[in-house]
Amino acid sequence: MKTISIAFITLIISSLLTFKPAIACWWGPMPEDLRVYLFNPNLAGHKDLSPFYFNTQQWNSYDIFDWNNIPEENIEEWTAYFGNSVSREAIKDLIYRSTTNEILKLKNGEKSKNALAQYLSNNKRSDIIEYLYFAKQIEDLFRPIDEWTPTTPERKTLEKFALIAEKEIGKAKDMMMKQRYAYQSVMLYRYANNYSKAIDLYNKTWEKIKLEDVSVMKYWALSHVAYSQADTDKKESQKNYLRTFANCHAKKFWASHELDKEYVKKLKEDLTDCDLEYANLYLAYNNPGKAIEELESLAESNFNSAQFKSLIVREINKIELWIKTPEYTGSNALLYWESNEEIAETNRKNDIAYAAKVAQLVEQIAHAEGNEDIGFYQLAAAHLYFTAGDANKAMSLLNTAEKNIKTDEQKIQLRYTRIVIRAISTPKLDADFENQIWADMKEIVKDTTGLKHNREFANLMLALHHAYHNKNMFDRAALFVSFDLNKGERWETRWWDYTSEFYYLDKYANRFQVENFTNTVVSDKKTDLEKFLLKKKNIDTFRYFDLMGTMELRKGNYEKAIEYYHKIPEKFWASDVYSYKTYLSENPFWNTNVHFRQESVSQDAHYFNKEVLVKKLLEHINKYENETAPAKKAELAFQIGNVYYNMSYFGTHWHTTSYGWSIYGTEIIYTSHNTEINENYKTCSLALKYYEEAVRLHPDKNRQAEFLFASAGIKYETDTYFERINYWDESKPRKPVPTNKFAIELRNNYPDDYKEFASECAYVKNFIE
Amino acid sequence: MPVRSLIISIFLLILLSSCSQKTKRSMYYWKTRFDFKKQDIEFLKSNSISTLYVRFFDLSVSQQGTAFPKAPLICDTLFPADIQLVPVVFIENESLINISPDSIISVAQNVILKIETLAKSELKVSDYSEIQLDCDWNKASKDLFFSLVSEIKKKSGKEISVTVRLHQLKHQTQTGIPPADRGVLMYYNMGQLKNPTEINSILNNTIGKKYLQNAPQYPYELSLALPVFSWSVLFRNNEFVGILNQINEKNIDSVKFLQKQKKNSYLVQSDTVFGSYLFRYGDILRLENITISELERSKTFCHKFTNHEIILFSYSPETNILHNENNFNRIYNIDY
Repeated sequence: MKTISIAFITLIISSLLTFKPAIACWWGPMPEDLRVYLFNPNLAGHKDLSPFYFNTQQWNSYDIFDWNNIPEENIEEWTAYFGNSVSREAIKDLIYRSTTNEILKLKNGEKSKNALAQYLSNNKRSDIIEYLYFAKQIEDLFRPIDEWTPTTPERKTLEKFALIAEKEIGKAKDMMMKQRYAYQSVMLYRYANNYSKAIDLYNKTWEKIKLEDVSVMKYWALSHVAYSQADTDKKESQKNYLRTFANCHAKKFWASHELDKEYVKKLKEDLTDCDLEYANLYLAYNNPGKAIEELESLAESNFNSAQFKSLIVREINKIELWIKTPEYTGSNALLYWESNEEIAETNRKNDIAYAAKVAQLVEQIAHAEGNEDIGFYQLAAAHLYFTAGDANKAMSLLNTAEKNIKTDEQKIQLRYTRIVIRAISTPKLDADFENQIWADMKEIVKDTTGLKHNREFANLMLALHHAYHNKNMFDRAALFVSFDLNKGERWETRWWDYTSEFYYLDKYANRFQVENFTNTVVSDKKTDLEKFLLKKKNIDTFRYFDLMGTMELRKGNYEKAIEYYHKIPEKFWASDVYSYKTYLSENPFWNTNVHFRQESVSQDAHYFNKEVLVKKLLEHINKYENETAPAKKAELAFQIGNVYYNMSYFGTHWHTTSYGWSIYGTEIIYTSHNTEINENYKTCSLALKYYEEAVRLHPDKNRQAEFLFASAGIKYETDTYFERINYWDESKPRKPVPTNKFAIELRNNYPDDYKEFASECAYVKNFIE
Repeated sequence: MPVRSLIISIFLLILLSSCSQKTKRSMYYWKTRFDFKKQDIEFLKSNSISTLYVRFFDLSVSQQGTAFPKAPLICDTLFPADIQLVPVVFIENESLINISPDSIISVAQNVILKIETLAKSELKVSDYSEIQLDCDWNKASKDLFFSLVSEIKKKSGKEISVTVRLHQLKHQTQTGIPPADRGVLMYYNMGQLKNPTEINSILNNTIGKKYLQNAPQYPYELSLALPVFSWSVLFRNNEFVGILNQINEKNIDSVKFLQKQKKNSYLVQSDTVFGSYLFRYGDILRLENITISELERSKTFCHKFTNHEIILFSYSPETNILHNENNFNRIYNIDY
């Protein structure tokens, strides 16, 4: 009676029944993680607008509003008020960070280390100190006791303070203080629900103040007026929110929350002049799509304003999202829906046409009379032409822009744009090309401290990687993958699990390219660009010898494989770098799935690194070819088959033909593009070939049956595993299992053995039925 | 009446009364503002909904370990009379691990006090007997969460219920059992939201059934929470873009730029700005809604594990799929 291992059957059954498709983790990436942009949003010209830079999320969400970057118009006003003789930090400290008690001490004549406090004391500005003390008391009214206990001031307390502030308006020395007391009063009346008073006071105060004297406090107060009007006069309320939105960066966020977009669109018909402009501004900021119409309407009178420029930058970043993100990140690579490729191409063409249209608009604006920042617009237009794929126009305009740009940020952006234009327009990405891009890049990277979180630079690396990749120059492309920045914190990296130059090369490159890459890494004659890209990298070249050896192994070039493996020191195999070190003591000639008699092979402790494996395999093949005794030859064939089985996807001992062993659905994602992967990996073709020989050769029928049984099991596994449906989707029909010739032969020609196998495990019948 | 007939009648009466299970009808209220108008109160009463589980605030913990209430309930109206209130605190699992074990006691005290303030001062409810803690705890946060439950139970003197997700029911030995008095089995959101091949991430009975198969009984009573909301999920080039509450089962057919494809997917036919979103030509919108028959199936699968309370998530007339009394009755009536 043959001892047929239930274990073998159990293993097959358990692998089939408990299999869950290892679906790639769907927790990320989020759209903002993938988004590519190369045009620096800071070029908008005013850092106060940074909360309103374009991003893929709705920017009017509390969760994503940048609380650390709230505009500081109030501080700007104070700084100018003191004639720039007090630092902004000192002003911020005293106004925002000091306590009521500290201001009280100042009021009582105590000395302070704060520069503004000293200024106020020295210049006898007790009126300002009084105001600050008043403002701090108001803050205290609203300050929560702790995170758990909000404070709701009583209405009469609020009214009391509002009245005090109102009286101070008349006594104020100048417009600066007048408007601050007015703001406090309006705000307090609003919170006291005395809406009509808030509105009246606002009107009374600000209708008399000349435009050149207007403080940002006007708009702080106006937002409270708008709130007060919300229930009784929606139209006026919305107009006031629009005015606040357009004129006050600090209140933009809050105003936008209160604005009703659909209402504003209808309201536009009744608006004129400034109010119409404000409405267009709001709608432009809130348009996640193509906003050229709003830009055209705003362009005439606004092109020198920071807000308009920020809208231009937003439009550029949007277009980059639509065109460059899928281009560089392959986020449209998964084609689940049949029509997707066509749709993606249609969108791409439309977006490119749109980019060109916006570029033309921006170019026109650059030439508009009175334009104070021609360089910015020319730079923006050049970048847009690049995004639209018109490298010639882009470069020509860029050269013109170079003469007109003013700021350091614009100069840096020019270099970015020039690099990427070159990347798409240079036919050969050779040494000359690299010298050219390095000439610009070295200026960008001079200040390396900023690079760590410089998203644009990470995107630039991505763009260059892409340029080389498209020309199949995978060894050079890998250098840009290597770049440290792209494996920084999660939000900076484009690639998720298993991403590094190593896996990239395994997936795309041939052995020669891997060799080139490795030689570049070890070379002491690196170019400046190579030095820069590799400077922080600690590339383990032994991994690459392993990779190159494995590439040769996959092709059956065993001697060449041994040559590479021979360069690897022993300690590498036992290190954490080598993922399969736990298998070093496994015997690849032993098939753990089969507990048949395995002659001359034991499961005793051995040592098999890849070099030893290939050498032993060659020895076995040699012995097999020279062996004349049928039984011995058959056993050798079986053992060789075991090695090939273990080197396949299904083998549990040796992952010698792939790295990052993971699957997405039923695809092997890291080697699916690698044409050098051998058939054996997926279908165990070599393993089955040798098992068949073992069947043919062995004189013992029982042993033949055992070999056939092993073959049948493997055939079933390979036939069904990759054809398996989504385990969770019962609506999809299962594909029929292909004919298993081994199982059929076993049943037909070895009926007793077949019955015995089937009686011990009914699942055997599945091989056939 | 002959004695024998009387005995048979009594026996039948007992049998019938034990067969007709009266469901306790409850709903979750999960908005930041409590604004319950007359029609809302009427809705609850006409559908015999006796209990409202109201999210009072989220408990979040900063990186520095400071616990604070996030988005506390703003009360525009009072709580309706004759409806039982159960305050719910949602505990952010990912931030819970920042909390120091030494601060559990003070956090518990703050939570209890905050609940009391909101209930008594804002909603004018003084007689609530239960507090629910909603947390999808994991290995890292288990001990902290369980300590918090224990402390709140001890200090509040109230009955404490916790939410139990399917994986926590199935793998009790690994995930542990919070020291609460009872629980609520959250039978929804078991699908893979961001997977473009998912049919319905809100309610997927195929997945749910697999969790329940051979799951052990929970050591205390579990009520059953079922979903009654719908939303749509936007995909662009097979990448998840976002969830859109504004487009749901109620209005999707009136959205002109969408073309229905197979099953529950809709194709965006042209670049359109809708609300604050840009929909691009080729985007796919997956409408996820709930059918009464699927809910009934859910009840059947869960009945072994749950008691006679069904809590629907959540009260929201804009997205609520249960348009009429008949639907409510079908869901709430347990009929096995």
